Amino acid sequence: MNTNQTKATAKLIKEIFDELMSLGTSQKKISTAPDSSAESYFTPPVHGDSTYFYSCSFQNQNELEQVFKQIFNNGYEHIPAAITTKLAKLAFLLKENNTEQDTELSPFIYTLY
Amino acid sequence: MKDDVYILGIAAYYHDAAAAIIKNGEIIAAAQEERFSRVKHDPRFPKNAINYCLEEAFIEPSEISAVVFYDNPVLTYDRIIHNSLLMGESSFETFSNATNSILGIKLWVEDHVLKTIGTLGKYGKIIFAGHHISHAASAFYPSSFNEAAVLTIDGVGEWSTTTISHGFENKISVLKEINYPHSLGLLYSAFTYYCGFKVNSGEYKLMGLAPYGEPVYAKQIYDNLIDIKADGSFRLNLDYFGFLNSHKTTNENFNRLFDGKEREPESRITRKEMNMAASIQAVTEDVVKKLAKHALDITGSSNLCLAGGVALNCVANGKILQDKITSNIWIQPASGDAGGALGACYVGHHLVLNEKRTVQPGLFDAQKGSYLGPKFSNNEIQAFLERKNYPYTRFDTTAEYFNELAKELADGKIIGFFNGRMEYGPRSLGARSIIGDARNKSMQSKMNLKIKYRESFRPFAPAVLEEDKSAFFDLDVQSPYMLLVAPVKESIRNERTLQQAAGSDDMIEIINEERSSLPAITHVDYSARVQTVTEETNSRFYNLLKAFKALTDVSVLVNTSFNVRGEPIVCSPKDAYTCFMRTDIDILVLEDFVLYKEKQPAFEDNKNWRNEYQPD
Repeated sequence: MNTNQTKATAKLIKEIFDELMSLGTSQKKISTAPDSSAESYFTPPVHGDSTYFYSCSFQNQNELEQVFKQIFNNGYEHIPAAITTKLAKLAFLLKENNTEQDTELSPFIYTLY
Repeated sequence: MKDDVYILGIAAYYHDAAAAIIKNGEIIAAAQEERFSRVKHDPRFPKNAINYCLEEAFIEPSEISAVVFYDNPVLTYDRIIHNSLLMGESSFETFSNATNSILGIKLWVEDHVLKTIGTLGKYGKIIFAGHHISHAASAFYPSSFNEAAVLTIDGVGEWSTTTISHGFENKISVLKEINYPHSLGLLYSAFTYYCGFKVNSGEYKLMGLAPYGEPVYAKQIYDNLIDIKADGSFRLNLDYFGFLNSHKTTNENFNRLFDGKEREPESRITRKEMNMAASIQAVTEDVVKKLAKHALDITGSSNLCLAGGVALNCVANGKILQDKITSNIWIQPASGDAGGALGACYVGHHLVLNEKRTVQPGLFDAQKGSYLGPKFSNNEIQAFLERKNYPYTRFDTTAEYFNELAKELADGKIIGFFNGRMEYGPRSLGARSIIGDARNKSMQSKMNLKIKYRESFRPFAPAVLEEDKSAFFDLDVQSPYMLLVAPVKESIRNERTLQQAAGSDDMIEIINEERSSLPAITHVDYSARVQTVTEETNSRFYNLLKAFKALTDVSVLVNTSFNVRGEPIVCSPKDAYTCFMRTDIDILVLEDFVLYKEKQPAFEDNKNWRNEYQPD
């Protein structure tokens, strides 16, 4: 693992977090306590077509940023463009760092012997 | 002529990774990655399961029409952002960990697919199905209902924790939802954690512990932790939970409410944990029943489909039947995240590609008994046994085979039964099962302590011939997947003679009490988690039950999963033989081959094998 890249991603994560904190609390999306006056806690689906499926392919940061903007800003407070730009950059950096699984596939995939 | 439509569905990265493949809407194969990797609840990208699915379908990757993932990581990250906006600076560690995980790994599923199979299918890009619509699809499409109310309940997907949908022909419409952090799954997991069990695998144990206790804490739960409306919708009081900004589900307020901190794992279970289990189980059943009723009311349907991790709470499922909310119910056997892979297939097939749906008349369902994994031929097994010089017996006729096995079972022997295609989902259904005589009063203790190496309070489940179910259980519907709990028939119960001292937490004397003529499968409240077996779905297991009935007049056997504690259910003959030799299983059956323990050579084993498997 490239230590410089790890430090870079950690720094960027902190930067993004601090920028989010400067937005103040987002009241709309998350409630934390019961409401005795409410008749029901059900809501209609709030994420539109994403409730069902979303199809995309992002080959570069710009395309990923567009995906973030579309999904993050669906009906709620906007996440500023500066943050989504950094998030897209961060995602591509993290992709290079992280290996999820690198074991070789066994030719006998259910290892009979 | 139209090309065949193959959809590959993938679940990964959270827990219980899996892959599934359907052809023209028909299930061809599905399997959890853990069965191949031998890592329980393996969350990693399911390379092995994917390759198995392609082999079973007998296709090249280029023939895949679309690849569908069961979750939308960008929408999940939206939740992480808003969680941090709510919780402020205290959530930095959670935010950082989630960012690394989601933006570093989960987002790049397309790359992992390309690395594994070299293609994204003819569709050309990954389809991210919604998590709960994947659950809903896994419940509705394999059912035999042309139309149904579909209820999904879990910990959390992207945002949703509970959804009510209406399924009609080839479409599912999501009508209502409850969103994070208000989650019945997370509530149940909080109690799982507090009672000293592992989250995401210990919930089942909490359900099994509940009948030992009394719901004395239910009022505290209702008064402080959860507000439930008449329609079953609910909201948690997050003052008592830690998961918004820590890795713990509970917090100090929770501990104060219940007079103390959480139980240490593996320590003695006391009356408090039994009562906690009973209390949260009662509350959960209340919510599930209300949700089920509301789902049926608003859809105008009399059919109910269930999925999501909470649908594995088979006691709650059984209450839907017992309270006559509906008798038309179908529950996805792989109701947890693994089932999302199959659901993702259906989302691709019906919702994205708009393919029609065909419900076969007269079929119980399209799940094929949930026998959707690999099988091994007699030739392959024989080659394995002879290469390893493991002695075996093969009988001249099937009658001899079944009669011999039935006799051994009646003599109290425990059999590792390896037969046909492996099950998809957490339950063993007679394909990868350990079986024993349910009439035997020491069977529960022996199986728990000497074979499963697990907690002795845990009950075992019965398999029964479908046509005989009503003779032993108060059950009128088919239950092929062990997802319904029903009372043992009164006519075979024994009266309770044990008067347990008030406040006693000695479970052993309760466990050893013979509660019915089938003591090994009768839980302390006279309930049983029933599997009904038909000849159509599992003829070998069916015929064994018939042979046992011919000998004993009882067509019920103990059926528990073929594994030791912490190990995934066995997949291959090698896995089965290893488990056989590491435990007190008396006989191993590998299709037509019968192996007797006393005839086996000394087994060269890894001396530290018990450390291989983390207790779950």
